[in-house]
Amino acid sequence: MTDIFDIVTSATLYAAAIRLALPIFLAALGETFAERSGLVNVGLEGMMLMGAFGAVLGSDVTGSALAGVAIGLLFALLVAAVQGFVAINLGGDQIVCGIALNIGALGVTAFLVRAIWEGGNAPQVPGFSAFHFPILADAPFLGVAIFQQSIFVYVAFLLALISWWALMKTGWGLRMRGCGEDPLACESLGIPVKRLRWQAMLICGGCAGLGGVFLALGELLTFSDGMSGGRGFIALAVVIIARWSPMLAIPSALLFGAVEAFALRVQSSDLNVPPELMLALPYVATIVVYAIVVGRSNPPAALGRTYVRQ
Amino acid sequence: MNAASFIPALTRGAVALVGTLIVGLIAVLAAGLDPVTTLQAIIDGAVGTPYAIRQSLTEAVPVTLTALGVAVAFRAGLFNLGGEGQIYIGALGAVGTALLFPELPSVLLIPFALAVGTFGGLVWGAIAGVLRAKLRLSEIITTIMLNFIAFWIVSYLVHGPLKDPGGSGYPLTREITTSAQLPVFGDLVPSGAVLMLVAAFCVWLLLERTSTGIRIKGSGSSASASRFAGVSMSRVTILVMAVAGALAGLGGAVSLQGDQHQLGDFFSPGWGFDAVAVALIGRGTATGTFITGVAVGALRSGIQSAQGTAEVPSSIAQILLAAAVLFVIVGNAEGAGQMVRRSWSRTRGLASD
Amino acid sequence: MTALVKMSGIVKSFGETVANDDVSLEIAAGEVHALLGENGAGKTTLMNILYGLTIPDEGTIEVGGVSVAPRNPADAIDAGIGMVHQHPLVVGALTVAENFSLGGLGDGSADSMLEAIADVVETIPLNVDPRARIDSLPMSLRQRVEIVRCLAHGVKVLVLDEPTAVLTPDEVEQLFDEMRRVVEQGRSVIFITHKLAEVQTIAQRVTVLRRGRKVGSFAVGELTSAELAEQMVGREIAKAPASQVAPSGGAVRLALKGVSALGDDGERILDGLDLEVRAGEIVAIAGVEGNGQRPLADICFGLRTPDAGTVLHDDMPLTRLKDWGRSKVAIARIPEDRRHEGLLIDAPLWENLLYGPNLAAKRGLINRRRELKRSRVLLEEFGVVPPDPMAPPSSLSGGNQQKVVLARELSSDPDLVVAVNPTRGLDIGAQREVRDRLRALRDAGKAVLVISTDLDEVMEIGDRIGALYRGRLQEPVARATVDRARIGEAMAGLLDHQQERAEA
Repeated sequence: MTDIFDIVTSATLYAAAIRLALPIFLAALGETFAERSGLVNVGLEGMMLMGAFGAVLGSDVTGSALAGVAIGLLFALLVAAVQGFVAINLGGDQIVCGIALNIGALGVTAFLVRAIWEGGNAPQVPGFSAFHFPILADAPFLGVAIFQQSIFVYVAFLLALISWWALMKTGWGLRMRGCGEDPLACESLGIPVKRLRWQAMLICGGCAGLGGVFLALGELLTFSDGMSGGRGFIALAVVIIARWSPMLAIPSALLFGAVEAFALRVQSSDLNVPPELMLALPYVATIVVYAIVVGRSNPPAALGRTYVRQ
Repeated sequence: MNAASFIPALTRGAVALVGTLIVGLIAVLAAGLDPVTTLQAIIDGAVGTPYAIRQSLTEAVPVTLTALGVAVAFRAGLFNLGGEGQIYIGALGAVGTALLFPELPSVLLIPFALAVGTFGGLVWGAIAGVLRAKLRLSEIITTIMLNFIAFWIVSYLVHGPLKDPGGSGYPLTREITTSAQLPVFGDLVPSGAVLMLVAAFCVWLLLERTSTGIRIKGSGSSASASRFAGVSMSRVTILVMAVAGALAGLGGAVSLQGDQHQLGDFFSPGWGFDAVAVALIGRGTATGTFITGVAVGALRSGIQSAQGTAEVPSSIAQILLAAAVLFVIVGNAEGAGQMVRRSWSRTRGLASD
Repeated sequence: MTALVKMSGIVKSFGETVANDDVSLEIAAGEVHALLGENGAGKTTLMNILYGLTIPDEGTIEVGGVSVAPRNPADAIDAGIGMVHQHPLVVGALTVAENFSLGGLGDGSADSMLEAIADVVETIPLNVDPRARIDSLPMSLRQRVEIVRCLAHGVKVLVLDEPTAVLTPDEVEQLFDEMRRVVEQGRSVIFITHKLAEVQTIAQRVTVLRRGRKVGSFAVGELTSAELAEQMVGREIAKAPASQVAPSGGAVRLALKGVSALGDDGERILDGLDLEVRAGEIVAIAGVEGNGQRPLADICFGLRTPDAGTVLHDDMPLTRLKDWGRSKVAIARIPEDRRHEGLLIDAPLWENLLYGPNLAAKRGLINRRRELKRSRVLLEEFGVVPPDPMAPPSSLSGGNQQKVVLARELSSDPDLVVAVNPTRGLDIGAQREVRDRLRALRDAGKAVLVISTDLDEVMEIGDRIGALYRGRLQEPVARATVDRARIGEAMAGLLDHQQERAEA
């Protein structure tokens, strides 16, 4: 009879945690750039969803998962472009726009799924299989937990490193952070605030889209309505919990991945716990951790404030 | 400079409406349907027969009630994205009460169940309000989390303790007795619709004719001015989130007692999110929200009927809503006015840059 | 004279307001040129155009004979123009070195910054830790960072927008010396100001703007002060009425004893303040921005409880607003920032007139017709133009907005008035009106406390005058017994040091 101890000490739990954390992490990484530049992007959920949809569409049509990645990214970037245009060029209400895009993504994906595939359901598509690291995959415990993951995981880790270096160690990153603190001062120094924010927004869309792509092609291998399941919003909390740092987003996202993995394990074990309540666990955890962390949080000063040059 | 000073409100509204219709047209064409027959089918389905009208009103009630709540919160600068969860909790409260006290006479049971549902929604909304007021947690994140939590709580209950033993295995509660069901007036107007109208009026009264309303609007307008005026932001926050939750809870209860009569996993087809769009389109005013809500209810109902006759996908409604909200934002955006002004004067040959 | 900078026919409108109406300006090399005008005359707009922050509707700019059209500050800097703003445009959360790096000087490290500014600091010394965060520095230092940054880019023209607002009189002297040295090196300085005295001290030539139009350019010395003032406002300004004889003690309306307040880092931002304001007098407190005005005002406004000491209003402890509850509040509070604190800028005036601590007393439904009527009467009484209760404050001029605040606050006929920078950003006519009203309140037996960073205002309006420096208050004394120099010393903390030395 499996019990909690067995679950918590199994390497597969941690492997699952990493897999489940990945989409959240990617979305949070992208949002970190956006928020560091001063933009609030509530439309993460929509970008993930469009990314997932595009990935399944591309993979189905061409039979290649790589094409799925490209199409998924494209779709997510389209959403980011709208959010960017409204927020940056028009100075419109960023939060309302994000909400609208989420609703729109739900509608558009549902619409297209019915329109493109018979019976209104997306098919199973080729995805990405796990990648076994040559020697490390055979290591005890860690081998299963870390070194047999999808290639996405390793790419994501690299992205985290690159992002941290770019944001904190380069002039470009400094200028971007400046935009998020005081866009007027940066403008007065000749820093192209609009351009930098656009870059941040597109990076955000790309990362969130990648998260959606992985959701579809790395996990479920298909698309279902609303499959992002609130991860875009969890990612918003992760950014805050991670103090707007790309590296801290890793453990923060992993925390939620672990909770979700744990809940799923418990659900499928013979422990007598109602499965639905387990499924609610990640959302409860989000609120709890968010509450613990928020007191000491220091967001970019100009976050979410409309900035339009006269 | 706001676009408002350059593009008068009427033009913006017209542009938004036309734009949304164009988007709808594109969607309909993309679905391979004929626009004219589709439109006809939707209109017929919405208001063509007395039954259709009744269905439209029924569909409109939960969306509009929730939207009124979103509107109140929006005026205070808060985003209640938790309509879905609050609707479920409201329905849960109502169905629980109805199933627990079926012997009570209608005249007691109906309002009692409605009240419990409303109260449940109120609490669910107030949780997010307290988290925001006392712990500074963004309600955007917490209300979404609470949505999922509410959904799973209800799901657990309808798969388990509350499951209808004789109901052929579906995850649904028993049906509530007729003593708990809301009547329909003249077979045309569901009592929920009357409640919806009353609620809209009360919200209007609150926002436009009470000091609390001024404080709500002031908090949403300027935090520093409100602090200076001695308005307690934290009290306003909790109040509006409670009100929003209560209205959504009422919406859930009404839908349960007036229409669905039992609670299951798929109780709400996304009313909570439609409600957000409705409130945003209505710019957070009671009248705007009410009118938009009724229109959206009719639209959804019309599309549902049209699904049978003309195969209109229900997702069109969401697409239209999203498009409408986007057009509204763009019309109100600060920079939009500048762009229009510059291109306008360029066409008249006045600009020098 | 070959002009170093030549602006011709500049036109710029913001909506219905014409900020610059066909303005032309010529700056010679090696001169300090003052740009003089009241608040709202268009000076900052004109310079923002020169600096590329704003794009003109019409007009041309030449620098050194070459036509330029800066679309952003980077273009302006390339053309040799630098600008230092009233509130320095530096990024608070970043360090000094990082701010220089943002400006293209150094890579964010302390060494690279020092290297980049080595030449400039011989003229303009900058004593600051490169790794310090900007928001930990006082305004005067932030301004200095901005000046050094501009000069390190090698600009030929340096524009300063009202730089003396954040400086003590001694720091002003130092700044003027440095500007003279900058000009000796062949550069030019454009000095935006609304203060005549500064024009006379530092400038060689002055261009006067009034209501968006250029009134004229003169050599300093060509006109007398009175004539210059007239150019600025377009009519003769009557001298301010001589103050009443120092009033004898009326009842003490507001009493602070030993009041201290702690800042975020635990340091004292108010230190053992003693202050009394009596009926029938105006107590005016001078001081450079950032020396404790904000916490002092917040305490007197009931927005903050002191960390030590007592505050009594009419012998009752003055508690936080939240506890005022339904009791009628007898303090008129005029905040510093009328647009963001004093008013709901987009809400209709009638709602604004209700938006205060007394709003809680309005239970039940509001009779809108009655409120509209009441509002109209109030607006007319206080001279708000136009007195439309449905219009939002955003449609009114600064002066009228301030009148709305006064209307709201004074409508309950309170016996104590606390005002912070009541005439900031107002044109001379509105300034006069507000000050007259404060004097009238004093004459009617009210107790008035004015906290102002404008020394001229303090000297003009105060019956008793005190100075705030680093959270310590120089005991307010009758105006007749002090002169400007002494107050200036108090503002700079010199009197403190003298006292400390005497006690040592």
